[in-house]
Amino acid sequence: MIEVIEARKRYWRRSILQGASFTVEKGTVTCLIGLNGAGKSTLLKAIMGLTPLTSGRILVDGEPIGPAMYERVSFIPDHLTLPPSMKLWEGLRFMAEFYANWNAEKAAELMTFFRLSASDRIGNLSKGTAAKFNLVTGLALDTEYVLMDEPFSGIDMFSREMIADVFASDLIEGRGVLLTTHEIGEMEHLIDKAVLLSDGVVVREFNCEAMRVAEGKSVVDVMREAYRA
Amino acid sequence: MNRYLKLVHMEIHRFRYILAALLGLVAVVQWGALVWSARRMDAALDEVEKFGRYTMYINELSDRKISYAEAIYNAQQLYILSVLAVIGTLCAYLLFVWYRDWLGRSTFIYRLLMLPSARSSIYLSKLTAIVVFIIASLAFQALSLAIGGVIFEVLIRGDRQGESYFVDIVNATLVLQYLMPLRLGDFALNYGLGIVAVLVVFTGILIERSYRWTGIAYAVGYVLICAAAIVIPINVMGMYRTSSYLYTAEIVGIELAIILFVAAVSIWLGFRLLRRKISV
Repeated sequence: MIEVIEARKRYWRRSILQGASFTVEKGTVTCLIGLNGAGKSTLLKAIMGLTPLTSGRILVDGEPIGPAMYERVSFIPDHLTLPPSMKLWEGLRFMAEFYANWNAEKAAELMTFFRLSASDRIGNLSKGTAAKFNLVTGLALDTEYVLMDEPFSGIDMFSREMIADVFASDLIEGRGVLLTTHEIGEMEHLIDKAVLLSDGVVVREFNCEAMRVAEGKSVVDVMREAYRA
Repeated sequence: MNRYLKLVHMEIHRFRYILAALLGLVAVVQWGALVWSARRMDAALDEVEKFGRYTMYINELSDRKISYAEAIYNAQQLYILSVLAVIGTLCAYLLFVWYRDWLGRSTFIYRLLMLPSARSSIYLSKLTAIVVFIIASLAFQALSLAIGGVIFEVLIRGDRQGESYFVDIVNATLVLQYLMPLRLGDFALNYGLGIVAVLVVFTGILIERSYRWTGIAYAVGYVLICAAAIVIPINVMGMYRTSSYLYTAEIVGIELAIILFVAAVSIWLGFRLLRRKISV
């Protein structure tokens, strides 16, 4: 389980996070929801140790962030993370060389699924193709948790469908997934748990199915309540 | 260790074209300058032999021979320019080697910081790559001088060739004197100081990357303090004064301790920032 405990972050005099706390369990898809500037991306980066918190703690299966964690948690940001001069096959080779849990077979499957050409240069990829390649590098790691920042941002309809298919596949099964997205409508049926962030704090944290059954509300309905109140 | 070596290989691989172009430039400029200079001197000698006219290259006192060192001396501006181009590019690369991973559409720093190994290996791999580039440039300069010697022998008639020793060749230009000091102690001091300067700049960059806008002031302050810590004691203790209170060996010892301290603090701070403060 990933535990975010009282996470606080300040940039100059502006508070981005003001004591956000929530958990991400294995085998569930958790969606971090918030308006622009709510601190969603900052939280993902903080979990990955890419930006320090002003205060608060983050634990992965009870342990603080450390180098070994990167074999257990993978992060798929909304932009490329390999040098633009590399070709796709070189990027895959880089991942295989540096990560013990790299699954080359899975990577080949995903490359075929997304119809990516290994000889293309990373710097020449369109936004949609770059997002797909990002998913390859993130999902071909046999990690227990996957973090995704806006996987659908600026991507065409057919590519979105392909990426959404990944969520329904065994590539995600059993893993703990934490993602941020603005396309809640499209993703709602794939989400198990929603965490609503507002002004740097978690205002609602609920199981989507339980909410539907108990109160007859969709995630969007709860969002309206939380953000329009 | 294995991942560190892979990172070093990758850093070298990323700079290979720029380094090859730079060394190619050194070869073209230095050999071109040598050919131009040697031909002019050879033509001047022709003038003396045929018409008895002396020029700035050959006067009444000269032995009517042309040496390789003299040919370099007469074209030293171009030698200096080519070496400064390499030094300038390597200095710019000190910044580029970090900032290119943060800037642009693809931010490689995300991946580097998420590697399942100690983050200090990122710092050390970039440092090692720079040291390799410096050694490669130095080795190529030595090779260029050796090949230049062959070119000189081909260009100038045997009976006109004067003797040239390595010491004369190095002393022919100021830049080569600094680049290839003939005493081992000077060599260690020049390149040791250079590497400490790289460490200080690297840590300055990491301070800026950790604290951003305020970090710029901290980074500049850090670099200035380190520079002052190394330079001021030399003047205060009077290394070049005969009336100094301390012996030269004592001043050198103190200075060496300061340099090692600055290097150790820079490495420690750089590692700590990478581990705890760095932000993408």
